[in-house]
Amino acid sequence: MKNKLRLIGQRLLLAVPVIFGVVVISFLLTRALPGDPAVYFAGDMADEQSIQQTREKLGLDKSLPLQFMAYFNRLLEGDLGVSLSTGQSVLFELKSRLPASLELTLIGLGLALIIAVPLGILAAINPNSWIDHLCRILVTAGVSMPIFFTGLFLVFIFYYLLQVAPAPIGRLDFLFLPPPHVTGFYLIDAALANDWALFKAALHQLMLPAITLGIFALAPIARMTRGAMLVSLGSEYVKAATANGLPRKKVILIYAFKNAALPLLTTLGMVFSFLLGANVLVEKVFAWPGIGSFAIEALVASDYAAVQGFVLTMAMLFIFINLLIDMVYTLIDPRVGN
Amino acid sequence: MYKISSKNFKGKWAFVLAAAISVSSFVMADPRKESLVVVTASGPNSMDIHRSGTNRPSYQVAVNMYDRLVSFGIKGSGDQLKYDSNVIKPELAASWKLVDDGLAYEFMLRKDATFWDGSPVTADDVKWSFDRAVSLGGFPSVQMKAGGMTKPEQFVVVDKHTFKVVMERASKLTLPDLAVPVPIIINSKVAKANATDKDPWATEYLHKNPAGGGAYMLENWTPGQQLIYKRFDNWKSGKLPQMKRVVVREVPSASTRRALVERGDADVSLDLPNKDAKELAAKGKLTVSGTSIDNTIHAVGLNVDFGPFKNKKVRQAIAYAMPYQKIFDAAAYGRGEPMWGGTPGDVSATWPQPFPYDTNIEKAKALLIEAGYPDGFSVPISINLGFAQWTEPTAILMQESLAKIGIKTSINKIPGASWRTKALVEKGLELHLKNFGGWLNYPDYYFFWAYIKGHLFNSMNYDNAEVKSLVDVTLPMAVDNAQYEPNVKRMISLAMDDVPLIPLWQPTLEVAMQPGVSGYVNWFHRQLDIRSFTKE
Repeated sequence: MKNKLRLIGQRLLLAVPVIFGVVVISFLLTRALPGDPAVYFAGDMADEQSIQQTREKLGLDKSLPLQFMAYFNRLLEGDLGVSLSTGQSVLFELKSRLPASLELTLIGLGLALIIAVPLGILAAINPNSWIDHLCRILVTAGVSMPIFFTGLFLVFIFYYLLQVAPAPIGRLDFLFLPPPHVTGFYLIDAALANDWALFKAALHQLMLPAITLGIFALAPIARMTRGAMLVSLGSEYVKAATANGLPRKKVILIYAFKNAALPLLTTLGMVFSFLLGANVLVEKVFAWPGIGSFAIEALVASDYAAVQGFVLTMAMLFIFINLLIDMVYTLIDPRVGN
Repeated sequence: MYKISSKNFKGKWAFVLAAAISVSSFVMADPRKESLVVVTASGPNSMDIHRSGTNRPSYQVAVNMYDRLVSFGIKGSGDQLKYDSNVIKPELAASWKLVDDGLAYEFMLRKDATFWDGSPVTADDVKWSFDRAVSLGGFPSVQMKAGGMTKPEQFVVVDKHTFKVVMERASKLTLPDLAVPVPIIINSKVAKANATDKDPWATEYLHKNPAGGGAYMLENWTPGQQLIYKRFDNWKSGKLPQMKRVVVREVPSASTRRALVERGDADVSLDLPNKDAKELAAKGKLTVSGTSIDNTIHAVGLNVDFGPFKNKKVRQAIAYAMPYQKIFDAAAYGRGEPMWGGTPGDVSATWPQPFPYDTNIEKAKALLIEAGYPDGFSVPISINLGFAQWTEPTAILMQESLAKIGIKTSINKIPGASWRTKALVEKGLELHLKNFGGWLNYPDYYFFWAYIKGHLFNSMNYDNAEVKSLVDVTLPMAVDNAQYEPNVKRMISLAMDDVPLIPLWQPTLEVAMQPGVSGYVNWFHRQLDIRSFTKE
């Protein structure tokens, strides 16, 4: 246990230079973006003089090192600056948008897991059966259908034609006001406020976008489960366990699946990070006020503070997720940490 | 043995799938007659139009929550309503007159008008607000300057309800420039109470907290998601609007916006792509309002700094090589006013108007040979990705057509943010697709921005001494001046002959509404004015 704690401590320390590197790189990269924010934000009718005024107002007339010093100092005080394109402080944007994205991604990933893992296991234990083919079809379809197409398709079927899904207008219907902010996750906040009508409304709004994301995430997870299960089912310890007359269920779930879970976990970490960044299109289709569309719009507008804040948050999140996965690894795999 | 366990799994799997797909009943949108649900592509990023960085959708806040001294009339009938640039009508000012030998406007403010907090609107508030617009710099100052208003000394408080704008020289642009969204009247007492030494114009406060006396107040604003207006029942500057509550929800995807209005969950869908507008109008279930935008064209810019384009004949050759009709059908879906095929020599004093060019490949070839380019040349077509909906199909059709006269082109796609720098500031794009609209609906105003060397929207670097002197003389001139019409006709003739800019079509503003909802007005600022909406 002591070893494991030291390992985790080392990992945390390693994150510090990584974060500093991210700060420097995100600062430099945003400056290398094409487009002049002063021109963009000076507005439609701006002339030379008003562009210059805007540039001075944004502090962009100073040298790069000076700009960086100012940025870093503010960062240490927890001030991420103001996003010019949305007009709000970057901290406010991240605080309201990150939970929206996380809630959607986690539920989408959860749905994908619930379907993909059993499907992968079934496909592995019945190779070339109908369920294996089903798995193959789902995987191919999930990967090859563009995510916005899946989204629009689901909206068309379930909202437009069947009218069973709510209007794709974001996190809540017009009738509801958001729950008091605790975590920013509407489901959790509504439950905490004991407002079950609101909980239901938020869940309804979540279903379609979460299923869209789920269909997309299904493919890599099912594929990885199937592959890893095939490998461990063919291994000697499974043969030994079967030969020893252990119940089939136990052999599959305990002996085979636990070993197959290691590569699956790695894939999961990757899929999660990918989903969080890549759900811009889902956000657009469902008017979801998430972090992806915020980042894209900021990039397009050369909105320095917003891009830096986004990159920094995502880097922190990735570091945290990797740390988490490493920790779970140490729990599942007895070889790690000894 | 496998079969038994797999059945077990299959059962669970089927259950989960069923649970995931079954999405039960949903809540209907508020059915109240006095509330309106509007969906739009993007929403405001500030409540203050004077702030630097305020985006276009924020102009609706200036329109609905603040009053101006004057406004424009509304023309048209049924569902095809449009502002009328020829009629200036009272808003906060009950009346006005020209004084001081035509060098100042004196406005008589409504005596009963109050701000939302109940305090009366006075000439001091007007002065403070106008001072702010000319002092903050950036966009509001440039727009005020277009009407000849540049410094606080021009704004004079005569008495509590009389206010004077002093002009440096008489100009027809001053009064209409007071009807655009910029010169809003702010509650100066509230603003001053929230101003600081560093921020004397209360930009931080007014950014999030509107303080006005307009027809609508702010109920709730969730940036990036929605804006809710509620009616100010004591509004005196016009007829009390019917809608008590208006929700403006941001829905970025055009397909989703269309689905929402078709399903009846939204009353009004703004920013409709031409394709959807065409299809919805053909279906006939919804009301589609699609009128052309005044003083605006989609056009091809030819940079005269680029070798071959220095020659007028080459520019004319390109104007003859444009596949106008194909572009209009593919990029505009036939919605808009064609700007080609005019009769040569028949010039009117209106803008925009069809140029005397039509697709004529033989003539284009002949002109190229005359100009000394029998084998053509190579040039990139630069397009703004922010407007890919029309620029991309247009560029591809142009490419095909220009190849027929030997001009080899590649398509240079530029992201929206870099566009301003590259096209308008550096002015370095050889052949490019552009759009510009002037808020004040006068041909000479358009020419001032787009045809004078060094001016922002002259991305063609066009420089013609005669056009410049014509614009200088005509810009302040009253429309009924005897010289006005000949001057405008002359500058348009020059633009037609020199063709640094090849107009394609005049675009439209497309909006879909539920049956029973009406009152959408196509304003020059292209933003939502909810005051005129009605619902049955």
